[in-house]
Amino acid sequence: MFLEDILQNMRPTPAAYIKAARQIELGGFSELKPISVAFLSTFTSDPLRPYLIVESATRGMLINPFFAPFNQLELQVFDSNSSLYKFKPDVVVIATRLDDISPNLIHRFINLSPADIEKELSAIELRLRGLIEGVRKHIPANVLVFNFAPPIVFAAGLADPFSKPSQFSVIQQANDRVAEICRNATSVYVFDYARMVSEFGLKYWYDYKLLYLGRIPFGANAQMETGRKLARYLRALSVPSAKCLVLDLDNTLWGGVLGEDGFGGIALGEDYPGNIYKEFQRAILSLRDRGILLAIASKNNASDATEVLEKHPDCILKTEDFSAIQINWNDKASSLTAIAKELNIGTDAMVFFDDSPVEREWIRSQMPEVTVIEVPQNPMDYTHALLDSGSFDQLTISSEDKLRGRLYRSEQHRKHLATQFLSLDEFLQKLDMTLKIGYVNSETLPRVSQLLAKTNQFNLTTRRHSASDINAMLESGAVALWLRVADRFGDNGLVGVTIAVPDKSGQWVIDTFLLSCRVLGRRVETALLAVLSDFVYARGCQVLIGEYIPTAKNKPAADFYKTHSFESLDSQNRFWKYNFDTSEIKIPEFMKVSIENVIESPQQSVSSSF
Amino acid sequence: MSSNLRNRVYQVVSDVMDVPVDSITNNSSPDTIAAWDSATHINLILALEAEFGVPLSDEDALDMLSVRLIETILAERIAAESVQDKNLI
Repeated sequence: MFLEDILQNMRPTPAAYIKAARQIELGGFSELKPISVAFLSTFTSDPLRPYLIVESATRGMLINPFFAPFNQLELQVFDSNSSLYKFKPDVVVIATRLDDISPNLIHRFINLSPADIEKELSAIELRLRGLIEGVRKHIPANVLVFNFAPPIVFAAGLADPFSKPSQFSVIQQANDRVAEICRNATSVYVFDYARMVSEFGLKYWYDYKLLYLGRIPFGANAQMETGRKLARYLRALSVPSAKCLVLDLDNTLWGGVLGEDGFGGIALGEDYPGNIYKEFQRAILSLRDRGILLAIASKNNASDATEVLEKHPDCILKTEDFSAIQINWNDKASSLTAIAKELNIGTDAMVFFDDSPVEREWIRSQMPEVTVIEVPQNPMDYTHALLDSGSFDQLTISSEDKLRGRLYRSEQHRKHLATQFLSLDEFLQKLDMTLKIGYVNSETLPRVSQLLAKTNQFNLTTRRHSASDINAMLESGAVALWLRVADRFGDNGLVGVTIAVPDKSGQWVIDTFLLSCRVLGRRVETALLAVLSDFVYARGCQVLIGEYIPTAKNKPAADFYKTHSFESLDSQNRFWKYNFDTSEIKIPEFMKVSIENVIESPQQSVSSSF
Repeated sequence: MSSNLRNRVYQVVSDVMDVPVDSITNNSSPDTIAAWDSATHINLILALEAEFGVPLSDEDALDMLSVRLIETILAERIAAESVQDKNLI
């Protein structure tokens, strides 16, 4: 049985976790990093066991836990022959509750004088420091120390914030002292129990029957959450944080596609939906402040993209915030490899954030060592997905970390580095693409005109025909086809258009051929061209001419006719000739193509009120 | 006694105690299943709550000391939940 089989489709119930933990422990999964963790607690912590094991396994670790007998802390720490040291732990967790070690701070708080409070805080400090130093004398293990959550009800009730000092602030002081003790020791860190309870909801944290029957201070779901959080900390202790976040641009850093919507049309600003992306950019910048390097891997026109980064008033991320930039038309695995080489980091230290499921799948298949974040559909969820991914968990942030982003600066490169295990065709085959091609009619004309108006990159002639222009062309016998592409991840919609116009001599010229950026690099253009050539041949075409009019933005289309065996007719490479006798355009085998609305007679013009 | 309820109870006991479903009977208890101690009993209570979507009280936890008792008490709790839902209308 594979690890994925155990972990996938696991219901979040106690029984499922218990069963999965058992399977993981018996499974002998060599890919998991073994880590021994010892728990010393003033409460019953054994119930955490299955959650700790399962959540750690999903993060690449095989936890071997040891739970010291109930309330044995000093007994275990100060005795060199204790079961704690016999266990040889990699990590020691010291988990105490104020209810157990300083009950006055919880129940009789109102009666405490400032001197009493100081006495309680000092006692807590002394005890925890003693335990930490005791562990450190014997073993170099990492130590995690629980801090303290607020009580369910304040002693002063609603009056707490108005009290001086408030119980809340005193508990915060206790937590500050815990942090100070940890900072002053080596390899000792705070486990932010207080924050975890707050995030989860203090109201839902306890299950009273467990508390009273078994001294277990968390309900089933809280146990699950604690296992999860502990697993993140354990991973942060044993695996270094990722070093570089690689970002896409369109529909990731801003809403919309720059190539289609233009500088003014992308969503990025103070109002909906631009504010979603602006907020996301702020979150990304906070990662950079932590010392994570930022990079861009985008299929876009470089100068257009740079213009947004440098001049857009709402673009918080600027060119200089990125340590490496790959904006080109190459596949993204090449871009990521180039970025890694430029920054001199391993590709396994990279995290990839891209809204396109196809690009994510490509990187997963080509570079399994890269962490690919499963980006949610709704951009409002981007920030949470990024920050909660666990890829950037660090237990401390050093001053070198804060400076790191500024130490790396680089120019844009255009390198080709191919390191592919799966061939492109194999990958494209796995996309399960289904193509539909049909004649332009009244239903499709609006979208077709829209594409003609917006598409800049893969557009051979950039002719902005209106709906009535297209009608006129159809009336004089032109053939106009649309292309729809769907794949395993969904329907991309109508994404391609071509128009071929006959002259009196049996020669046809391809007036328009374009594809939306969404489906570039997938060879669907080959299918559209193949079907077009078949259709015009059936109408008596003997010579088919392709035309390429270069613009600042359509470089991706420059080699289109050449790669499909058209012959250049002039030195400018403007006109290309297709020879029906000697060449054949084949639809790639991995695509399913179906033709709609097949009409035998010349295409009717479309009546519309446009 | 619904056979569906029984099957689900047996499955939960099997998962938590790590014993084959076939070895479980209505007489199964901490006396007949070695793994059934005070610690795993707590896991069992939580697992039953999650599986059947009904909260169990501390008294229920103390009373559920055999599979037969589990079935009886669960059936009561489930019935009470659905009455409560109906009363809300």
